Amino acid sequence: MSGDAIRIDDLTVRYGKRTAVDGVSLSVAPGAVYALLGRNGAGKSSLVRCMLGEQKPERGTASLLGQEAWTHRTSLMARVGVVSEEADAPPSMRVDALARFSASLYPRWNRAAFDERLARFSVAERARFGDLSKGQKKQVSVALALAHEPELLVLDDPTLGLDVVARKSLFEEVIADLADRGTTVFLTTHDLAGVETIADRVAMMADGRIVLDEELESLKARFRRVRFAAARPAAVGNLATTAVRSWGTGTEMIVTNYDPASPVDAAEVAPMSLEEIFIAVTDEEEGAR
Amino acid sequence: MTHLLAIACREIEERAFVLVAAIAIALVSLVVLVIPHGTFAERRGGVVILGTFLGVSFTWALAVILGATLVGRELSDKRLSFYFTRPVSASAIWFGKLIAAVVLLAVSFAIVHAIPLGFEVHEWRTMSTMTRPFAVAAILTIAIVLMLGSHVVSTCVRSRSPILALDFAALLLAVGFFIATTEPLALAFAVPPASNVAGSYIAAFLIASIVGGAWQLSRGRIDARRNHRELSKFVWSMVAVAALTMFAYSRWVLAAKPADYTTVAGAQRGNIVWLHGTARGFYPEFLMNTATGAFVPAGRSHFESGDVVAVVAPSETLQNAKLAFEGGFQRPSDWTLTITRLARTPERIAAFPLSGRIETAGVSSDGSRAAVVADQILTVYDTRSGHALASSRVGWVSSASQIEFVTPDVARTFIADEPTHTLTVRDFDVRTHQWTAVAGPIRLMNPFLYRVAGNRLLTRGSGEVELRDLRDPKVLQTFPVGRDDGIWIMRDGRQAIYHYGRPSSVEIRRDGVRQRVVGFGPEVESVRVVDEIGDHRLLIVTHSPSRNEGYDTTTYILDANTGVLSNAMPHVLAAAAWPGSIGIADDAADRALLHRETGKIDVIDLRTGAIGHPSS
Repeated sequence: MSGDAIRIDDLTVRYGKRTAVDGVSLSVAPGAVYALLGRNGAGKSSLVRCMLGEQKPERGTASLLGQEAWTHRTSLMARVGVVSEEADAPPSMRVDALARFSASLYPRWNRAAFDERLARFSVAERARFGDLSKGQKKQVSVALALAHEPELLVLDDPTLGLDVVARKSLFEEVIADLADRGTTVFLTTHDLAGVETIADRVAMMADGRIVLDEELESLKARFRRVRFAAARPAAVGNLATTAVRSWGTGTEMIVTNYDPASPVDAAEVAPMSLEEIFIAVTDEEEGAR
Repeated sequence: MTHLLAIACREIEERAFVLVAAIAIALVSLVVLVIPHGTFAERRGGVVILGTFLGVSFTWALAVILGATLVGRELSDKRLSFYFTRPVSASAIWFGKLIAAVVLLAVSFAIVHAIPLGFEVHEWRTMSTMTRPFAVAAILTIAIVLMLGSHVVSTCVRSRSPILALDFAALLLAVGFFIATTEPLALAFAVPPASNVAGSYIAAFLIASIVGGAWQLSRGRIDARRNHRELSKFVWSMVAVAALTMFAYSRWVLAAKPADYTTVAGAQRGNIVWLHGTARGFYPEFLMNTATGAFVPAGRSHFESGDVVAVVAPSETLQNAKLAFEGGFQRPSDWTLTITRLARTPERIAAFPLSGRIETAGVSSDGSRAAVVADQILTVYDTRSGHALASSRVGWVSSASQIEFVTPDVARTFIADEPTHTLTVRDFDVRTHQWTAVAGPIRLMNPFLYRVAGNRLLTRGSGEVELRDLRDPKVLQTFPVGRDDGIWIMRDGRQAIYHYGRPSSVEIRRDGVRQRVVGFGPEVESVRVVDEIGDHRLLIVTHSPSRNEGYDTTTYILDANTGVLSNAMPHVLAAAAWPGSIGIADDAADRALLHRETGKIDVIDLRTGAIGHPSS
């Protein structure tokens, strides 16, 4: 049994002839914040469903906290908090009823923490879940997912459709909780700016495959935007590039193996945001196809 | 269990509005009370009728809706993650939802039926012959079947999976198998086993859909198509197991033979005994040759001559099976006439179709000819080809009429006329199509009171019994007989007069002069002479009231010369010929002894009195 909080081996999911997840393997260390990035249809949600034991993969296994997810889903869910992509609680249920119902299913339930989060999100306890805004629904889902103090938190695109304030609040909530307890977090998202502040490690998925899986720091360290004044720069040396763009007499390159110890001469070197790296990587994958 | 109850409570809470709807529906029926028409009692009856109608409709409609939304809607709306991302098992999810639906159904039912059922007991009693608990159980059972059926359909249809085509094919196959299983049972009037088959199909479906719900969620979880696939696999596997088991069961039931009887009774003409009783859960009837032990199913009617039997049975058609189920087997559209020689190994001589309302029939002793009166026309058939050789209109005949073959080309008809209580005997020549009068009209006490034994004809009028030889139709002998007496004409010309009522007795007479009287105890309600063993011993049966089965029978041998009763056989019925109040020895070599309480069948040799098995 490995010590990983999440371990996925050769996972494959097919829908008819279409392969949604194609032999994916990855692992997440305990206490890490792992962000899985990918465009719509990249296979993230299918991967999450398999990981949560909601869907049986065609091939391969997904284990959480050392237990196979499909077989041990029931017992695992007592140790895992989940915020689904779509808020799936029954619309007619009031928030307090939802909390009571959830509390009855878990071996432990921190009602005070739940109430405190609701208060922080300004969500009324007597409100019907269906009457809440999209952001409030997500906030209630997060509060419910954290109330039983899970060892692992899985968030499937938690900021989808949220405004900037709600997004910021959501990540802050997660971060605050992480700071408190060191919970392992696995999230899939489009919100790269939010992830950049909390993730330890990121993976990128394209066409059902993992095309990048790396510590965020090292990823950001090796990706650079390099601009040369010359159209045909002589000092490229061993730089690996993923995109080269020329204009007038100048050239711009996305370098994927930048080493600060070996600066590039006659060039303007700029760090890249996670969003820029994501675009560069996914564009390259698309180009390769 | 806690999780299951938590889910059940949550589901009830979510759908509690149906209870409000139930209250509203229940109150609607009270509107009848304020309609200014009829007496108050009539309006009260109207409340019961309207309330019952609304209640049943509401309950069944609610069952369909609850079934359709049990998990199907959440699956298609992708909302089942709500449960699956929590530490609850698939079984807890399913059974929690199911329990909630059943509770809602039962409570709604109680609410909507409170007025019609509780308003006035009298109205309910006059409306229906069903008891109230039975009606309640029936309505709720149907509701639950509807709910589970609706759940299965909803799961299958909402998945929009191509497997739906396979479901449809499986459904057709199951229906086809059901028909193939029950049709022969219906035609054999095996109604309890047919009910068992239908019940097993329903039980299999119920179990499959109840357990299958947990199975589908356990293996399909939030995937609608996978749920559909798993549910289909489970339901159809269960139905297939039930269908194959019931098919085997029906074949086992239909393979019943006389040795399987657990209770038996019957009647005998010549060596052919018509047996009926309980075997393998139904009431099969057989014709058995007492000399050989060979037997065939008796069909709906049967005719015999020597060791040849002709059986008229409904053809195996769906229409006939339907008629059999409805109990309306008066005019089946198609019949099959099967002629068999009950030799040591039964030999089928012919089988051919007939149609119409068959009133009587006969078969020649060589099996080459059969005569049938159907729809007032006598037709004589060549059995091997099934072709009609000749036919003639005979008019309306009663079921007491008979046909015997004098030769294969001459059919003798004994037409008993019910309105006039007369018997007319005529011969029909197949070659010339001509009728020849033989005897009659002869007055009968009732149309059934005549017996034919070869050329001898015994008839019973209002105060006398006449014996004729049909080769010379004048009356040979006349015997005065009391209204409550029966008579057996012995081979040596003596008469055994048996008195039916209490005190029962058998009186031996020669030329009308009493020789001796044998009396029976007060427990004996009636006595009857069944046959003659050798030339002076009589086989008799007494009937006594019995607490268990209405009456009990004991068979004895009575020595007519000495008046000594011997060989008492309790609970044994010697199979007699009909009618019972007149008797004369026919060509039977054995007489069946039927052990009514155990179903065992023995035979007694009519020359020696030895008792053995039919095949020995």
